[in-house]
Amino acid sequence: MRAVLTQVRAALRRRRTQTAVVFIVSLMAAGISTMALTLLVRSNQPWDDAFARLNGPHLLFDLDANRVTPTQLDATTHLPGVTAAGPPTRTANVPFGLGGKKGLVQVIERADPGGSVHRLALGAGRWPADAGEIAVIHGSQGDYPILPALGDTMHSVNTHPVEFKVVGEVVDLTPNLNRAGTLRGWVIPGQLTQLVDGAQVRLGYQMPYRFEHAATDADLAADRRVVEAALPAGAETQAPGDWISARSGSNWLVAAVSSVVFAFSVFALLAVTLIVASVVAGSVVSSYREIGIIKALGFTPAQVVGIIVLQMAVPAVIGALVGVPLGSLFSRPFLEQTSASLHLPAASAVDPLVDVMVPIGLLLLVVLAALVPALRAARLNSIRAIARGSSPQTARPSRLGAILTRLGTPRPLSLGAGEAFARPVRGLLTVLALAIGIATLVFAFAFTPTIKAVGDDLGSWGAAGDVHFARYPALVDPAATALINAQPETKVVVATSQLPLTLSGHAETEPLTGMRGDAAALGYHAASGRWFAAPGEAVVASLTARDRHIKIGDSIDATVNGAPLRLHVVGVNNDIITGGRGFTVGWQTLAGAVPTAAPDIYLVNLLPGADKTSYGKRISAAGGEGIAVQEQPWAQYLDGFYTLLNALVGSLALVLAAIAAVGVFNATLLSTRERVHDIAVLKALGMTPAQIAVMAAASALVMAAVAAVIGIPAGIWLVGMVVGAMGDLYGFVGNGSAAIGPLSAVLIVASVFVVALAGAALPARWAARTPVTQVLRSE
Amino acid sequence: MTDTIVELTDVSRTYNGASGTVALDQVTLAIARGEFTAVMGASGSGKSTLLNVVAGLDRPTSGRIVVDGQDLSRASESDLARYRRTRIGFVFQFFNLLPNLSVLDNVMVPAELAGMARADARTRGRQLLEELGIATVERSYPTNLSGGQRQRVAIARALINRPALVLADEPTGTLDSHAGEQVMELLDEINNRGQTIMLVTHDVNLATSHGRRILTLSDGAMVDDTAIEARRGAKPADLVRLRAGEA
Repeated sequence: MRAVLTQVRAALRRRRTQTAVVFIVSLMAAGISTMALTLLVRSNQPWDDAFARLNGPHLLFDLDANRVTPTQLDATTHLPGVTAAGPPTRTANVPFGLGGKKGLVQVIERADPGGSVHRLALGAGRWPADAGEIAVIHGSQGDYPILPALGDTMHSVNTHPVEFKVVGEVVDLTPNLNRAGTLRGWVIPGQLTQLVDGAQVRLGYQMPYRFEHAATDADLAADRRVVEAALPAGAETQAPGDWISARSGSNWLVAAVSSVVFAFSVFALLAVTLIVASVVAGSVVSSYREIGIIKALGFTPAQVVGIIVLQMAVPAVIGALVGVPLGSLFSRPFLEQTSASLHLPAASAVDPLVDVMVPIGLLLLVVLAALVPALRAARLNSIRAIARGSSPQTARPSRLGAILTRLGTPRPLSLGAGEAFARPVRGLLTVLALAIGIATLVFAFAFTPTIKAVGDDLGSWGAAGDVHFARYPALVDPAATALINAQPETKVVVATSQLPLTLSGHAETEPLTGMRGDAAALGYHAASGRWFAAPGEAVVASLTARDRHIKIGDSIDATVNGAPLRLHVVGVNNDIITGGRGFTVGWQTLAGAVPTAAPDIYLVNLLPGADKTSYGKRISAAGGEGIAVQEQPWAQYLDGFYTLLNALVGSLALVLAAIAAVGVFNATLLSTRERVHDIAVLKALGMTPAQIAVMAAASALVMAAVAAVIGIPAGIWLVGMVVGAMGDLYGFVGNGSAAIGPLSAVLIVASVFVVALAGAALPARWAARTPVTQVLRSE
Repeated sequence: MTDTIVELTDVSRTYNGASGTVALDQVTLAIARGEFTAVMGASGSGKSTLLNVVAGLDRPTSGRIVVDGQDLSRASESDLARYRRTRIGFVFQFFNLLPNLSVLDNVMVPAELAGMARADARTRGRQLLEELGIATVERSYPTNLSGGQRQRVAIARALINRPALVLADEPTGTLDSHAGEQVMELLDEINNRGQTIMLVTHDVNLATSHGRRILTLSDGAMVDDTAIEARRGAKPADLVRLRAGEA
């Protein structure tokens, strides 16, 4: 064993460049992998801990108090599979005003935050104890039109306004994802009656459930069916909230980030494996004589394998040991961000399992990559290896070199290019490592613009239009419409309303959005098919279309508010605001089924040059308590997201490009070392240092060109796949390949050649300095 | 006045610093155009170093070297490369053919580096292979040739740019006596056409039977410079005049 270690030590000292290559690529791969796994494993930790502590609900139903009674709800607590439930709490969605802004608040009557299910934690302040007191979700948990803080006084916006003082801030792990922008507030029992306001504000019940099996979406769907079967028809006011959506919604940013980082880490590990295999193969080829000698001295084949594998394993493990803390360090800000939004303590960025598994996994990959060439070395005939002296010459003529020569390519170029695949396995490994780098580069170029294209399509966010107004009960629709239309800057007004739609044969509801006015003029459009044009026509959101197997041309029977409705699907759209769910129809279609329906959101496009702020203020002032500007936080939200995504994807692409460059460096270096004799001869024949450098770099350029042919389509496919997966999650259909325009393509190809040349630069320089007399004398 | 092609003045080459091994020790030498000079000496005497500095493959530590009018002492690496491809032809002991190029391509490389059109280089290469009696192997690869054939290819390669000076470092060192003799006859023919030959060898018989002047080195210093009677009608008096320092 000591003899083996002596050999390994000597090899590590002598082959410093090779050791450095393995160290660097291992460090980078370990860093990315640690970051990815830490984010995947730890980002949900604060939420999971709090959810367990508070016995959070697996499903949270919102029900119409006119259609279901507390007795009926109590009966559902004994349904099969239900482990804990209730009690039902009275709720109402009430418009509130604060500091000149208005927003919808789901007010819930609750005596205390305790209970067997759905306990609530106070982030600050105390639980309401008297009439006129309210505790609200902390504003950082979502984007709400009004953001009450402790001590603020907010008032209901209805016929008889009631004031509430904010006395507590609540950490709610299951916010209302179905009605984005609806704040939650808790008051003591008995407070809601005064807030009920005719048809505009109606009483409901909130009912939490925990189930025996609720680990997957399928489990939850089955649980939901059990409860819905026990409820009167049409009792649900919206689809129930579920813990899986709430959990992923709580850290959607980190979830998106970690999936991207994870994809990059898989690539990095793959690239490292290829590079290490290439390094070891090269090392074996250049150590024939040495291997022959140590075998002649009595080293067993197993010891030879051990020497070679350890030469790779030692720098790989050291690289991993440096990379793991770096990966933890870089994942920390993301974890802190998740925890801060929930008012929960940050999860530690150090995950012992990840921190142990990453070096072990990397070591395994490196050992596997080294094993094949090491076994080949162990089988070498020592006498022949010694006699051969140095690495065997690659006497195989290069077809590519011959073709280039025939085409009149300068000799240094054709000689160099011909060497690219002189050792096919190494050439292939390098090309694959480079292709991975290129694919990630394509990803970096295309991913953010693709996501941005979806994000900037405001129609898909329900956010098209210059100014949005929310209407409250104090103002009826005709008055609100007249007020808006009376303003000289008003160009287009689209009024909308959303109701739950039940498809026949399905218990769950889908949101049905009715639009009055020229929606297309605001930027609403179908991603495929066309926008609705006639009564009865509907555009279906992408995830509903997928899950319900709805195609363009289908006719669908449904009910809305108990009234039958037949929809003819003419298009599919992106509807991120509804999570990719539901249908959009013209107002005639909605009003045909629900004649009492009235729009409550008004999307307005202004004439060029109009001042949005003064316009909004003027209408809000004129409409009094009945209308208010609805803030659109998306743009600011998205800008931050794009910046983060750009920085992250850019950094990761740089790391992968660096790994690819190291791969090229390694291949060019090995090739240069093996060809040192030929290079010396060519110098003796009159090849200038510049021509030698060109020759050495030419093989890297050929490999880069081949890698580009593989890597660019692979990158486009990757973007399509990731965008598709994100679309499935967030409810849109994106086209990744569309982001690669001619300019991007040119930039990508240029970057590829820069990476290849950067990797080949040093070996080419060293080749140009080959000492001719020394090399030729050593024969 | 004699036309001098190689002129060395106090040329020294030391390895491993000033206190290291002295490979050449203040060598002063002049070689006339068209001369066939054999450089002799024991192993380590500096004869290959002498050839290397004349070829521009190595730089002297001190002294001045002028070959065919070009001062090598002041030349850059690129200048030396251009010098090697146009002014000299080098024949190595171990042939040093490029294994992944065909025989014809090996011969054409220096011509292409010198900027000769590919078609012209091919014509010239084939002509040389024809002259050297190896035209039939132009598509073969070096590994498929005998030692003698390889050395002929190397000679063809050395001649393709019509260099004024051909340097040969032990060109028969790895050949059997018959192949070696054939190679030496080729060098004679080249010399007879007017090209200057500088041959490094440790074989006295070879040196005396082909060279017209014999330089002997010992420990890097020139210890003897003898003109011998030429076999092919050269005037001995001319050769005698070419002793070191008299040119």
